[in-house]
Amino acid sequence: MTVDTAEAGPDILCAGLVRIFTAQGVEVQALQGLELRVERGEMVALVGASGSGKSTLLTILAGLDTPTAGSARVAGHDLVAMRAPERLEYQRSSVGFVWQQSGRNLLPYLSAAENVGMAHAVAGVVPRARRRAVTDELLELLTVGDVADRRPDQLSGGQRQRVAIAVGLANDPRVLLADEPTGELDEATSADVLAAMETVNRERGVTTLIVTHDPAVAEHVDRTVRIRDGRTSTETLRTTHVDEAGRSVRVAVEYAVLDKAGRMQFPAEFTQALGLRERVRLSLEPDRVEVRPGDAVVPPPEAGRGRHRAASDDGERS
Amino acid sequence: MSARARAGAVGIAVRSATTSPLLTLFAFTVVAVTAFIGAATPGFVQRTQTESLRFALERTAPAQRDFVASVRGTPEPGAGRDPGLPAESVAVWGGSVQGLLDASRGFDPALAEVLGRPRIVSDLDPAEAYSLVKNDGTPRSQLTLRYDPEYSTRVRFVEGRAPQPVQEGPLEFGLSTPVAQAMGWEIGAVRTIPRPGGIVQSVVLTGVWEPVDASDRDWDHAPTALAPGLIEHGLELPVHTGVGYAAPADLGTAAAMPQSVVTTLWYPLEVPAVDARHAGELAAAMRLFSAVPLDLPIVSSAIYSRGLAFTSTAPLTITQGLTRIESMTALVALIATGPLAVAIVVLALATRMIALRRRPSLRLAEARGASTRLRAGVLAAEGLAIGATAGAAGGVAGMLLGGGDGPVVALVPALAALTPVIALPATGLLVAKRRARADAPATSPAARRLRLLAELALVAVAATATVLVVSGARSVEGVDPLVVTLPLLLAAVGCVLTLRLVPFLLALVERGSPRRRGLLGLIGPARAHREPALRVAPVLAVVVGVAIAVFSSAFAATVGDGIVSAARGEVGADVRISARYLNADQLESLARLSGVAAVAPVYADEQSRAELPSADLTVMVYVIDVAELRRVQEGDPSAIALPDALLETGGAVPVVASQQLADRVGDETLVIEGRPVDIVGTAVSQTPLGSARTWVAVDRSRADELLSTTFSPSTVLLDLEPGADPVAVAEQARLASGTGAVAATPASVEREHREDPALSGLQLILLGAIVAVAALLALAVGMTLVLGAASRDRMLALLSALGLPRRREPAIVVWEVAPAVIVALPVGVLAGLALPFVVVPALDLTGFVGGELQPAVHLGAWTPLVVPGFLAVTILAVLVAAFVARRVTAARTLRSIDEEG
Ligand SMILES: Nc1ncnc2c1ncn2[C@@H]1O[C@H](COP(=O)(O)OP(=O)(O)O)[C@@H](O)[C@H]1O
Ligand SMILES: [Mg+2]
Repeated sequence: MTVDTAEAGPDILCAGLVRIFTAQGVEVQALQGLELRVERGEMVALVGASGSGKSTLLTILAGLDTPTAGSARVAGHDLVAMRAPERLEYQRSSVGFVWQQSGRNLLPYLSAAENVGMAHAVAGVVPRARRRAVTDELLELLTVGDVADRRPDQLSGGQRQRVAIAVGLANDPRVLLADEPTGELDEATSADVLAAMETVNRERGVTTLIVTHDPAVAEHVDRTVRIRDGRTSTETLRTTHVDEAGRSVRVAVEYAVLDKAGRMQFPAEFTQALGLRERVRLSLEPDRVEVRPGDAVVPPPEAGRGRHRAASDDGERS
Repeated sequence: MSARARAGAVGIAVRSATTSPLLTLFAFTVVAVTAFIGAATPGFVQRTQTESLRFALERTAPAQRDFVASVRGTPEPGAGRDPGLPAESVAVWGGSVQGLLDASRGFDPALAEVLGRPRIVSDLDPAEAYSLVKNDGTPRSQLTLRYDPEYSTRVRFVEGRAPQPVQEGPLEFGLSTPVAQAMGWEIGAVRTIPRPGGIVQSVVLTGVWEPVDASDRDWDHAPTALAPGLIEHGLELPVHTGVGYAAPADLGTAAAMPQSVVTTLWYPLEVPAVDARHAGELAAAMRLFSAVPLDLPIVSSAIYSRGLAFTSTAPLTITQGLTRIESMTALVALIATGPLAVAIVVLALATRMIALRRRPSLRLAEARGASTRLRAGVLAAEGLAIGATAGAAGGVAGMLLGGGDGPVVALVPALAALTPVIALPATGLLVAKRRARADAPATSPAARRLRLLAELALVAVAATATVLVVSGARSVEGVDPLVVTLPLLLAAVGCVLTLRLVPFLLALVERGSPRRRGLLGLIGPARAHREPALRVAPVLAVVVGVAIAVFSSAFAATVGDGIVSAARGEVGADVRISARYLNADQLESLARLSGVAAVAPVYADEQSRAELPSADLTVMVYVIDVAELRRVQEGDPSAIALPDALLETGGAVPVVASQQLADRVGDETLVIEGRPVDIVGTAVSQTPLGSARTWVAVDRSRADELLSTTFSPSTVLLDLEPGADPVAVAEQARLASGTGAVAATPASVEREHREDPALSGLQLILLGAIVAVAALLALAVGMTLVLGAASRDRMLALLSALGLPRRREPAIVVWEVAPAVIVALPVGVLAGLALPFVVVPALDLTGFVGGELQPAVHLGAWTPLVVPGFLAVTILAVLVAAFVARRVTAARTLRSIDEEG
């Protein structure tokens, strides 16, 4: 095993991740060289259109699938080189997850507490004597302690997902993965569940990766990674600062992502606005790189603006 | 929070296993019923075989089946320790009876179990008893005087008194009322009996008795004690025969003339104690017993005592019964493989249903890090819980009800119990595996090659087995496993064929012009083409089920026809008369009976001495009239072939010989009574002419060269006129043939054979197998459709959104199974038709049908009905399953889309 808990590196590190599905001769490239880095204790949202490969990525990170090429390290485990025993060990103690459908998270015939117990029983990581205390503590933390003895069909959608989070955390993993955990919930409940995840992330220091296409989620996290066509395209970083009037303002800045080979994706609106197609002209300025339509001989007058989009106006109070 | 158990692994597994109680109950029921039938059948078969064996033994006369020895002389008098005899006999007979009892203590236990209390009697030779006054009109009587130590327990004197030992004066004896009447013997009357050596013995009747129990089988050893016999000698006055009892303690009188006394000893065979399960050892023990003479002190005039050899026809009857038992066992095993295979398919389908229910939990557990071993273990434990409890419950119930024993009883229950233990983890892990796309299972070239290899291997094995069985190259003791598994092998080849053929045909349909076929014509074949997993089960069920059903039906017809033709061969004509002696007048009156078209007497039958250069034999010589016999047997397929050479004059005597004799003779020259004979033809050894197996038949014209007495007819074959009632004519003929004559018709012989419990038992099993495979087939087809319901309903939901009217939906269901069933049905029929031709020659069926010829295969009237019957069952199953499936899944469809993958 190559568990290296002392390692100070990131908890999730994907480089050049490729996953190709083959079915009856038809190839689908779900991931095409994805790059992702999540630091320890960080909470990151992963957004992207349907079919962009988000679930594929999470399935790989959960150790349920293996990439076709590239490298993926989570919590010190090399997911590519990992053999069966290590994979089991990894799933049991290093990673927890929450899926969109409660059917994939919870067994319908077990109560909330028993579902947590089942995660304990399967993994055998938490000592028997402590399991009960751990269960109670987790359910309490996620404010579902009062419904511990109810079965999933007796719970509301929000409660169900919070129980699912508790199950995901049962074995005290370093990383929590969530694939559209709020996909089936209404807005208010979504906010609740996301708040619960924030709490968990803050109080337990669990590295958290949430897949979503719900823009509201993005507001809860400091970093949002967007993937497009199986590749990381942009990242948005949010910071909170106090403005001149003493108000707390959240500022989001969106960055394009440059991969190791120096490639980057342009947002569609950029390429459309300037009619960038096929060939473009690049020029290196002292502090920036300029990209111009390939057929334009004369640089457009406005070409000096860097690719910054300050968005202080869409900020909100925290 | 409540104290409810925070489930541990076991608790969770139990909870998980109890979430689908209906399915679990269903699987439980299938295992239990299979185990029950599997455990009960051996008992039923064993019981039937035992009954059949007892029936055959019961049909032979007790005097023949009991172990009888007889010796000239009287037993040596003596008291014995504890012979259990009446007081009056102990002193004289005790020693001998004690000796017999002691001997039986040393018998093989198998033999000791079936032999009753030994018996011993001494008879003064039958001789005519003359009235003291000549020609006083008393009937002629031939008296056998019997000394029976136990007679006083069997008779009750109703008039006069019991005989007593006498020192002087006439020897006392008692007769039964009917015998005394027939002999015209008054109580107190004295008659004289001339004995060898010029001795004249006077005897006096002291009393008349009645049997205590006239139905006691023991009377069979004293045939004329209860009722008189009659000897007729042409024109002479008839002689009445009978057995009279002298005082057993008076044996000394007889001992004085040992050359006139025959002592008969026997161990009665207790037929109800015979059991088919140990029949083989029993027959062997019996043969050994007959072969090793018993030493018992006998006062005899012979200097050299050979000991007593006890003989019986029982070992022969049992051995013949054993061939019947063995072929029945083989047949039942062979037929049982069909329902068993389909039951296992159904069970596998049931476990697949359970496995599908477990899929979400399995996937979840896998994702949480449950190892494959753990998941398989939990499923196996669940399978074991179902299999073991159901298998034990059904097995024990079946064993108790069937009353069978031996490991064979546990075989099917064990198989049924193990199936879920293996199938549940296997299918569970398989269905939980993530497939790239549910509708397009990826088959690698390697997997395809493996499948082809497996199929080729199967075909090769089946072909080899068929060749081995058909060629009869193997001689296997008992049940040949190859014969038993052959039907399943052939059916499996049929399945392979069908499974190869169906996709090919579907592809053809798919490729055919799509425009004319509309939506369903497009979707139906496309789906059927892409769900191969669901096709295996119904194909297997249909092919195996139909094959076994067709075979069972054809087999029943074959045996039925075999009995008819064997009966016909045994009687040899429309009616056969067997009498003690038929005179010329009687023959003539038989020929003149209304309804009789022709007669063919066997003019004489005599056991004769025959010689071969290598050995001496005894041969039965039958005297026939070639023209008469030809006429009577004309048009009969089992007629004895009588070549014209039989009528040749001069040279060696031309004869037809039995096959058994001809085989023995080979190319040597047979000499009968000093005359060389020429075997000009051979015939089946078992013949209507008589009971001998090594015989020759000679025409009347040459008979005097082999026999001295050429006219002593006792058997006559009658040919009836068309339209004559055989039963009525047979009765007329019997009455015209004197006392003791027996008339047989093919129908009466056939009826006798059909009474054999083995036959009715076999028919029941054949019928049971047909019903079982039909029921299982319906289940298999139904379950296949229910299994496919989820994906079908999802598609139907889609199609109805596109505007498919609901009434068109059943067509989709039909498309799912119809192609496979339509191809499988004729394949099953073909396999079923091939089976009897392959299997029947490999089984010895003569035990069932009588005669010695293996019956020819007949399909019978019912076989063609099996196919539409199965089709109807299948259609019914499809309809019911489609209805059930819609009910079951309608509510779940939308929710389960994600989980069903
Ligand atoms: N098991 C699979 N087999 C074949 N194609 C797949 C499979 N899983 C996902 N894909 C394909 O990969 C692409 C990415 O899918 P997914 O990761 O589920 O997207 P997202 O979760 O972002 O909607 C899609 O085009 C999808 O059809
Ligand atoms: Mg997704």
